[in-house]
Formats: sequence, C-alpha cells, structure tokens
Amino acid sequence: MIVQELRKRILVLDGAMGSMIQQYRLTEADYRGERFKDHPSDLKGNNDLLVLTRPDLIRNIHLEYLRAGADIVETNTFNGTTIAQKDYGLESVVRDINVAAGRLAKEACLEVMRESEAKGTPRLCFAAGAVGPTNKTASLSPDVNRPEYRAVTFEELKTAYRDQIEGLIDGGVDVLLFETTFDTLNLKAAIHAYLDLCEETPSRKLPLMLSATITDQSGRTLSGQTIEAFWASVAHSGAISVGLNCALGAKDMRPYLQALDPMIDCALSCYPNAGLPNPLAPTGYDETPEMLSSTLRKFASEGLLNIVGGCCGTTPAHIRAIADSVRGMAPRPVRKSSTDDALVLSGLEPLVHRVSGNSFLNIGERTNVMGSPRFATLIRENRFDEAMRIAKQQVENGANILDICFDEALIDAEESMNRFLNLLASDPDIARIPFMIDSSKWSVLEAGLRCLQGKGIVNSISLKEGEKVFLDQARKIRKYGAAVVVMAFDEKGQAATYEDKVRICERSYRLLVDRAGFHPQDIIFDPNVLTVATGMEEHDSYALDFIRAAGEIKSRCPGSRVSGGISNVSFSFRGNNRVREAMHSVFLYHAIRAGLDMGIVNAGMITVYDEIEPTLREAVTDVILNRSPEASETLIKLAESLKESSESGSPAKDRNSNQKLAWRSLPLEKRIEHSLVHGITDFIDEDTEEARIKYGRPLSVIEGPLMDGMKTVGELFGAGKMFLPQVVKSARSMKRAVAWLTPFMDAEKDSGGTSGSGVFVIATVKGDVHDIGKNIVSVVLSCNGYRVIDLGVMVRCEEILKVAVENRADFIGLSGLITPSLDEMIHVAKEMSREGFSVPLLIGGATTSPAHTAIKMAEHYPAPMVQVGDASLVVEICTKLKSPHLRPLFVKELRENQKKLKEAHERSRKSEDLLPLEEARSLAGEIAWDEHPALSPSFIGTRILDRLPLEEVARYIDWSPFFWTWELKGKYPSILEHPVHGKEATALFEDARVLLDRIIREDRFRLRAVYGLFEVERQGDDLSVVNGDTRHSFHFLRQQKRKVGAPRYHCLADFIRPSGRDLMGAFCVTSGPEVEAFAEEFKRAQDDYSSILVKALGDRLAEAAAEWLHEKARKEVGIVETHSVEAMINEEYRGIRPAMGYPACPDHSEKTTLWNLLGVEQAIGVGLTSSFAMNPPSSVSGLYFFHPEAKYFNVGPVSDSQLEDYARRKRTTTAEVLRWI
Amino acid sequence: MDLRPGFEALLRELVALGAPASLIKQVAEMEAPEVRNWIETIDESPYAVSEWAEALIRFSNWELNRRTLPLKQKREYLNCCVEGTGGASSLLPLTSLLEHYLDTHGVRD
Repeated sequence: MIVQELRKRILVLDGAMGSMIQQYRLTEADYRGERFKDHPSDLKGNNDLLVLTRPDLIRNIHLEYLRAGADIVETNTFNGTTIAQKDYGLESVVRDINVAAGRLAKEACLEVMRESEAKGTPRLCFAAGAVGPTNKTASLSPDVNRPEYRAVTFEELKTAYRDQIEGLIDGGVDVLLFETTFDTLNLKAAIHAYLDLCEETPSRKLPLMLSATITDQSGRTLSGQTIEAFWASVAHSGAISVGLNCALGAKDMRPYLQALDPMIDCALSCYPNAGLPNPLAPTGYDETPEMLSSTLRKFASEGLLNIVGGCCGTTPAHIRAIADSVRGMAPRPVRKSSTDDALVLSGLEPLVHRVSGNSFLNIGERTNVMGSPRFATLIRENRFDEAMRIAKQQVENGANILDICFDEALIDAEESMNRFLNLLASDPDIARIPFMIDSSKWSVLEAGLRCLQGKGIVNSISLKEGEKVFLDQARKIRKYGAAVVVMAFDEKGQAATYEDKVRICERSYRLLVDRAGFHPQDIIFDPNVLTVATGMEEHDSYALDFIRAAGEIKSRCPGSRVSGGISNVSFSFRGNNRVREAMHSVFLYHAIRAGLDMGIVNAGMITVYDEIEPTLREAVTDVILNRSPEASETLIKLAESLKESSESGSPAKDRNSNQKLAWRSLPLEKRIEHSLVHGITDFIDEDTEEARIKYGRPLSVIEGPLMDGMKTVGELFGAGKMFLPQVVKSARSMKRAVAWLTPFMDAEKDSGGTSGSGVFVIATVKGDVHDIGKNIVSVVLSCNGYRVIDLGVMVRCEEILKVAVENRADFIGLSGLITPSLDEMIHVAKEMSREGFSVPLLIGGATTSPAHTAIKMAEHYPAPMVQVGDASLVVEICTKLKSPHLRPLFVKELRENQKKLKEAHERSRKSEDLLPLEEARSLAGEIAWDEHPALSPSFIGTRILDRLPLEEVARYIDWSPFFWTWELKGKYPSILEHPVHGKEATALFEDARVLLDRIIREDRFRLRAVYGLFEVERQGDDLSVVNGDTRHSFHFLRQQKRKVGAPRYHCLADFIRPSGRDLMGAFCVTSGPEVEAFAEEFKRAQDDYSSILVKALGDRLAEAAAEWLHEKARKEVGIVETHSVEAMINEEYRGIRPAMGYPACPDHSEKTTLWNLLGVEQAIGVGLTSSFAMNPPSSVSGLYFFHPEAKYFNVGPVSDSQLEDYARRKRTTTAEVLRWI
Repeated sequence: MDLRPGFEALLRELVALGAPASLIKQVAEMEAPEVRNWIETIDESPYAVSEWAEALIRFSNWELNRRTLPLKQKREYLNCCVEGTGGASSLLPLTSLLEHYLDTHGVRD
C-alpha cells in the first residue's frame, strides 16, 4: 500500500524520538518500571525500553507526530538489537521490545486513521519498523594496533538483525526502515537477514526502506564510502526507497541527494537533522521549523523528494511545517537507474563499467597465491603487512579491481581471507577499489563476502557440481550483493573449445537470470584462457577459441561481461618475461576487440602493443590467432634467442619498480616534507638515509630538508590548517628521522639535535610532576626548528640553570600545574637574576596567568618574562623575541601590558569589599540537620582497594577535559561535531578509545584507591577527625567577599554538624606508576603523540576512579541513588568531594593531614612532593562531605585577619600559609 | 532567595557606571530564573557585583561595530573567564580578564 501512496504524493516521516523523550525528564524509575525494578545496572537512557515501561509516553509521541502530519511513524527501536541492548544487559528482552514497539506505532496509526475517518478526511498512516546501525562496526577495527580485528562479525550482526526484524513484523509494522547507516557492512548484514526471512517465509515479506548517514562534509559514511559506492553495495536489497538521514542539516544533504537521484530505481528519502548542533537552542539544534521546511520545500520543487521528515533535533512543530510545505507538491518520479546497463561495483568508491564505454578493467593478480609466489610466501610466513604492500602496489599500478586468492594447501584460506580483507579495509588507498574474492572453496568465498562492505565479485562458481549447487551458491551471492564470475565449466568438465565455452556460458546465464534472479550486468563469464604453444597441436587454437567465444557469449547473453586470467595463455614461456609480456599484450589486443571486458593481469607483465619488436609481435600474433601450424615452433625458437636479454630485465619490470605511490615519485625533499606533514613513518628511514648520503652530513639533513618540512608543519599549524594532535604525529615522523641519523651524528661526535631556530631548555619545576602541557610545547617547538632540551619533571633550579649555561640556551621555559609551583618559578626567576641571565623566561601551566606573571613574577627578573597561555602561541613569542627587528616592540608592549595588569591589580585590591571574618561566620547559614537523619556507614576506618575494575571505571570518564589537554575547546560529545575542529577531535577521540581499549585489554594500568569513613567533630572552621586513638585536624577558609544574593558565606566545615559527632570521608586514587611506564615505552619509540595520549588517559582514569569510588562510598554510608553515569559525571548526586588546592580548599598543605589520616603512601604508593603535588601525577585525592546541602564553592579573596586566624589555627605563619594557597 | 537586593545592586551599578540604556533594558527585562542564576554566579565568584557590571559594560563597548551577542551569552562568556583562570582569577579585575579573553580567543559565532 505504501508503494502506491509513494506514486501519488510525497510522504512525510516523523521526527526525532530521543529529543521528545528528553522533554519528559524521565527518571531511572521511569525506565525501570515494575518489570525491571531490580535490574542490576542503570537503565536510564535506554530509550527503547520505554515501549515496555512507559508505553503511554511513546504512544503519545507517535500520536503527536501523526497529528502534526506525519504519514509514517518510526518505532522506538533504534537500539532494539541484542548487540545494542547488551550494554544494558537486556539482550533477553529484545523481542519484547520490538513486538511492543511495533504494536504501539501501529495502534497510533490506526487511532489517527480512525480520527481522520471520523472527520471525513480519511488518510493512510504507516508504522515503520526502525532498525538502527547498532553500536559496533563490522568494517572498522576499534583497535589501531590490530586493524584486522573486528568487534562484531557479519554473522553476529545478521543474527541480531533477524531477531529484531521478526519482532517488528510480529508487532504489526507496515514497512521496515534500516536507517542511520554509518557502516555499509552492518547494513548488508541487515539486508541479508531480511532477504533470508523473505526467502524462508515469503508471506511475511514487508517493503524495505534504507537510509544512510553521511557523517560530515567529506561526503562519506563513517566507514569511508561515498554515497554512490554505498548504493552500489546495497542496490540488491530491493528496497522501495533509499536516502539520507542524520548527521547533516538539510542544506548539506543536497549534493548527496543529487548524486543518488539518477542512480537509484526507487524512491528517494531525506530526513535531516534540524541543522547543526547548537547547545543554546531548546532542541539542541539550530534550525527552526520554518528554516528546515523551507529548505526541504526547495528540494521537493527540484524533484528530489519522495519521502521527507526529520531526524535529530526535529519536533512535531518541524514535522507540521514540513508537511505543510510539501503538501500538494508532486513526488519525484521513480525512474530506471542511469546505471541500469552498467556493471556497478564498489569499494569505498564506485566503479561503473559500461559496455559502450569500451573500457577494459584491469584485475590485479599479485594478491593471488597462485599468481604470485612472493605473495604466497609472505602469507605462509604470516607477513601480512608486507603482503599489504603488494596490494598497494597493484592499486598504484593501475588495477581497477583486486583479485584475492589463498587457495594453497599450506594456507588456512578462510582465516587468511578474513584477515587480509580486514587489513585491506583499513587502508583507504587500497579499499577504494572493489575486491574480487577468488577461491574454489565455497566456504572461503563466503568468508570473504562477509568482510566486504563494498560490492565485490565472487570468483567463481560453475556448473561443475550440477545446477542445484550452482543455483544455491548464486542465490547466496545475491544476498551478499556481489557480482559473480562464472567459469565455463560443467558436469563434464572444463570448456576448452569455442562451442563448449559458448554453450556452458549461455546455459549458466539462463539459470542465473531466470531462476536465481541475477541482474545480467552482474554476471561475468570466464570462458577459460588456456595455455598455447605447448607443443601439442590440440592446444594451438585455445587463444583464438577464447577470443571468438568472448564475442559470441556477449551476443547471446546480453548485459553480461567476459573476463579471463590472462597470464595463463603464456605459461609455456615461464622464465621468459619478454615473450610473455608480448603474448599478454597481443592476446589482450585481440580479445578486447572481440568483447573481453576485464582480465586478471599483472600490470607489470604487459608491454605496449606498438612497442613490441615487430618480429616478436608477428610471431606472437601467429600463435595467439593460430595463423600457422608452425607458429608455436617459430615462437619457441625466437624465444630462445630473446631469453638472455629477457633475463637481464624487461622494460615492464623496470617500469613496475619505478611505479610507487604518487608522492613517492616527488623529489627527495618533497617526499620528506610529505611524510612529516602527514605524520607518515613508513618511508622516513629510507628517505632520511637517502638524504644523509645526498647531503653528506647528518646535521645537514636535519637542518635542511627535515627542518624545512617541519617549518611547513609549523606554518600550517600557525595558520590553523593543522591541529595539535596532527602536529604531534608529525613530530613522531621527525623523531624517527632524527633517530635514524643519531648514530651517524654520534660517530661525528656531534651534539645531536638541531639548533636551527634556537636552543630551548624546558622543565617542570621542583615539586611538580605534571608534564603533559610541557611535552606538547616541546613538540611544537621541535616542529619549528628549536633544539629542545627537555629536563623532565621535578627539576631543581640549579639543574635548569646549569643545563642552560652548558647549552647556551636561547630560552628557558618553566612549567607547573599546581599553585605552589608558582613560588618555585619565582625562585628560579630570582636565581636567574642573581646569576646574571638575560635570556627570555617563558612561563606555562594551568595555574599560571598573564596576571600572576605580571604581578608576582616579572619584577624578579629583568629580562623578558612571558606567560604562554597556549602551546600554539609559543613559536610566535619565541620568533619575536629572537628577531632583532620584532623584539624591541614586543618587549615594549609586554612591559606595558604587565605594568597595566599590575596597576589594575592594585586598584582591584583596593576595591575589594570583604566582610569582617566574624560577620561572615555569623552568616554561614543554617543547615537543615534534622531533615536528614544521621547516616549509617557500613564501616568506620580505612580501606584499601588494590585493583579497581578498569573497564568499569572507564565508563565514568568525563571526556571534555581530555580534549582541553589538546587545546581543542568544547564539551564532549558535541565537540566531535565542532565546525572547526570536530574532525580532528573525532580522530583524536578514536585514537584515545583505541588506546584505552588496549589499556583495558592488556591491563596496563593498576588503579588503586585508599579511602576511609570517619567520625568527625567540628571545631569552628576546623574539623577534628577521629581515627582510632588519634585525631587529625583539617583547617578551612571561609568566604568573605560581600554577596548581593543569599547572604551565606561558606566554609567546608559548615557541612559538618556543629555539635556532637558527624560522618565524613577521605580518599586518594591513582592510575599508578604504570601510566608513566607505559608512556615511556612510546617515548622511547619516538612516539610522543601516543606518550601524551597515555598520560592524558591516565589523568582521565584517575578522575574517573575518583567518581567511581565516591559512588561506592555514598552507597556504603547508606545513600540510595539511581543516577546514570552521565549524571554522576555532572555531579548530580548528594554530597561533594572537594580536593585540597582547589577553590573550596585552596591550601595544598592540608594534603599532609589527609596523607597521615589514610596512610596514603604506604597504602597505595602515592607520595607528596615538596610542593604537595601528588606523585604519580595521575592521582586524585580529597574529602567526602555527605550532607545534601554540601556544595562546591570558591573561597575567593580573604582578609589579612582571616589569614592570621588561619595561620594561628594551623600553628604556622601567614607567610607560610600564603605560600600554599 | 530574595532576588531583589542583588538585582537592584546590579542595576544600580550599571546605572552608576554609565551603562548604555539598551544594556540596562536587557538586564531589567531578565526573567526571574535567569536573575537568580546570575546573582548566584556573581556571589560564588571572587568578583564583586560592581566588577561584573563594569565588565558587562566593557563587553558591550567591545561589541560596537561587531555582532551583538545576547545578554545570556555575554554572561556565560564572563563566567567562563572567571572559571577558566581558577584560583588566579582574583589577581586581576574582571574587566582586564575579559579583555584578555576577548583578545586571545575572541567570540566564536
């Protein structure tokens, strides 16, 4: 029925389900309902489950959309597969979800149809069973170190989809909609499941709709396919519609809709997001109903729409506007596909072969163990990486299709096929072309088909085992959406003669087209290229018979193609490449004219027909066309005379060896630049060596082409055309090159490194262990020609100055994360002044600021002192400071700015309006102690957790700060779609996820924790914690800045009961020394990028562990809560866990008390440096306050009298207090 | 929380510091939840209400010849300036901090 409706009008699909659900602000209890109230894990966010636990709500949403004008509503089953539901441990209810969802959608349709009938305006509404992409990808590896690995298999997907589809059909849906396809192989598994079901129970067959997602402006799916390649891969589905949804707004979808329009033979759909994400907009997206509907109306007027609707961020208002805007407009006419007469294949890109185009497709044969002994050896020896290079060479040599075969006794062909194809898929330069799966074993063919997201070719099937097997295999191939090579082989054997070739091919054709439903264009015949000039007379006509048969087969089997294994023809001349090349060329010359469309050819074993020496060409032509009974004998004699020169190397061979990647043919310096800019390490050793020989001295290579390349990187970075993670990858290539040269430099007794732009000594100061930012600055400087001497962390002042003198440093850089490091920096500055240094001093780190540098530091050092707020600024600052022309103005402005800041600070101090301490104390505010009864902790004292569950803790990671580490601003997950650096953020996130998976899989970090629950007594603004026989006092500061709102002046002690005993906690967690050790492994391998990634992940995991432990502690004191992980990351829970050194408790020295209370160092090995930094650095510590009114706050400015009071309570001096806050 | 004293203090400061009428109007027309949110932010920051008012005026001046931002976005930007500098923020007047952020990062469309 829907098909008929599509012919009449543009149908309107509904809008977003998730945003609608979000508006209801559901709780964990809503998601659980009665049925799942005891489910062991969180269920909030599992929207699909609501069809069982809040069906009323889902039905209402369907009704809202239908009443807004939607003709089709999608079931709430985007994640309704066992794979997606596994995250919630709800695989067992997948069928229930889908059946219920189908019923709800259908019932809503019927209700609205009844309503409209009653109003006298009858309408048809359809329930579409929504099938999402799942949360796994079948054609991408989540592990960058194991590109052949897949987190999900085709068969697993197929099974999961089958379950979902059956549930939806049983629920009563009218149509199935496979949507948001980001990996075509996933979709192919779904289509396979659908086609299986249609074949097994034709009565249950429903119309199918498909929708892909183009992830960004690259115009490709997440798995890398263009939209044309996508359609080629799934056209076999028999879908009634195909189109696009999600990720993009309507405007950005236009080019892809236009690309699809001529190719498809079904309806075209479009349901975009409501523009781009916009956190400030109510729906999270920036297009209003009017804006979106206006664009879509234009699409309709251009004849681009059959089905239209909305995806993320769209609401019933959007759908109403869309329905109103396209009402009465003519639907796009469904036409025959423009490629109907073409063989359409695909890898990541489409390959369209038209007979009329007279183009010959070259099938690369060197990835066939039977065609390449070298390839066979590599596979046998498990050297798949090198085997990949052969594949790449084939593509670079011009192969249009890659033939892949592992049929050899010593090779596990199935396993090798799977592994090799997965590896190939990881290289977009190779995966862009279609693959031909070549085997005589069906199981190997099927293993290959399960790996192809594109439309490939099966090579081959035949009638050798009779019609039934032939048809069975053909039907299966159809379900995988592949084309097929049919060998001219039947029950009697291989067709050698012209007559047999034509007869068998024609018979196969009829079976395939008439009984297996094959599209004629997807049939490729191989009428057997057999060896000639064997000395046996009956073989003499083999080549000619093939050539004649090619023409006849195409005439009798319209639409089909003819292929062949070309090198077979010359086997009798093995070892004589010159003759073989000539035979291949002559054979192709004639066969192509007769109708040969493609051939398995080694592109390096063909010569130009016109360049074949005339005598040889004539002799070869006589053999190929069987023009004389003596032809073979003549060629054999000629071949003997040519053999010697042939062995010395053929022109084709030379050509082959010279043909590499396009950029590999560039001049040496450009190749080096390419490797550096793209962060490629594959060729850097060989190019560096070539440069060393060319330039004579290793240092000349560094200061020449390597530095030039890195300057380009620096310029691109400076211009915002490269982002920090890419720059760090470039540095990895640079380091590899320098590592190659280092032994040669050592031999020259050279100092190593380069000082092209200057020498920069950098260190994290004494007492501080944090170095991620410092490492990034080092890399950026290295990329710009500086010789960076990185002294590491906790570096004493004397060491920094000594190294600076020894190396005649042009700059000194100091880094530190914690506030006490600022004092250490002042100390270094004073020492530099005392020793008469005059080099610029650069200051960086999270707690540094231009203000602090200007107000507290600059006065201690007469030479320029500059705070560097961002790694991207450091090069510009250094350049100005080095330039005799730029320096005077820069320094003048620097000094003026610092003066201004200092003056502003003075004014600011004067204008501070602080309450007297006693008044602030009197306005602490009342806490409702009686409303919240005392907690009942399950234990009192200290506990040690020696190994926290890594994988579970990883779920608590707050990713936003991870991106900030890399100077990518924004919040996760919206940062992944950031218009400027979203792509780079996504790439970085993928790298991080892969590394995190590895850390978890290999148990690389050992998260440890010590925590305790204690009785505590409040003593004014201090707390006295009781631990057995000992007491530990914590001291806190109180807010004094005059407030204009609620007059409450907080102090952490306020959150403890003023009299009697209360409960509080303390904790310390660490990702352990393993973080530094693992990072060091990468650093040793010259891979700074991964090293920094490891440290950043170490920090994230420590924070996540703190969150995980806090949740555990809350449970252990009896706080009952059902927050999602996201809510927990957003701190939407009862109580706080303030850390020393942060705004509510700015005094770092209070950590000492915490350490004594918990015995932190003995328990988990985390120590405190002289500046109270935690070591290992990936550690988090703090206190637990459990009262519901406990909140984070900023102590802010305090009066001198409070400082004196605080110092007195701590039994120290105000000077000492000021040092640590 | 009684919003009136804080809100009046803010408006008073704006008027006293010569804020443009359009800015005062924008502030005066804020909804109660927004006011509450802002007053809380001001109180929990190390800066006095007068500094917030001054910074807001400076922001409005900066906008001259540029795209005008909604008041809410300006408030959020100022809050980011405060939060972004952590404990060191109290060293510098909020207007200076704002100028530093505008010079360094600008405002993204």
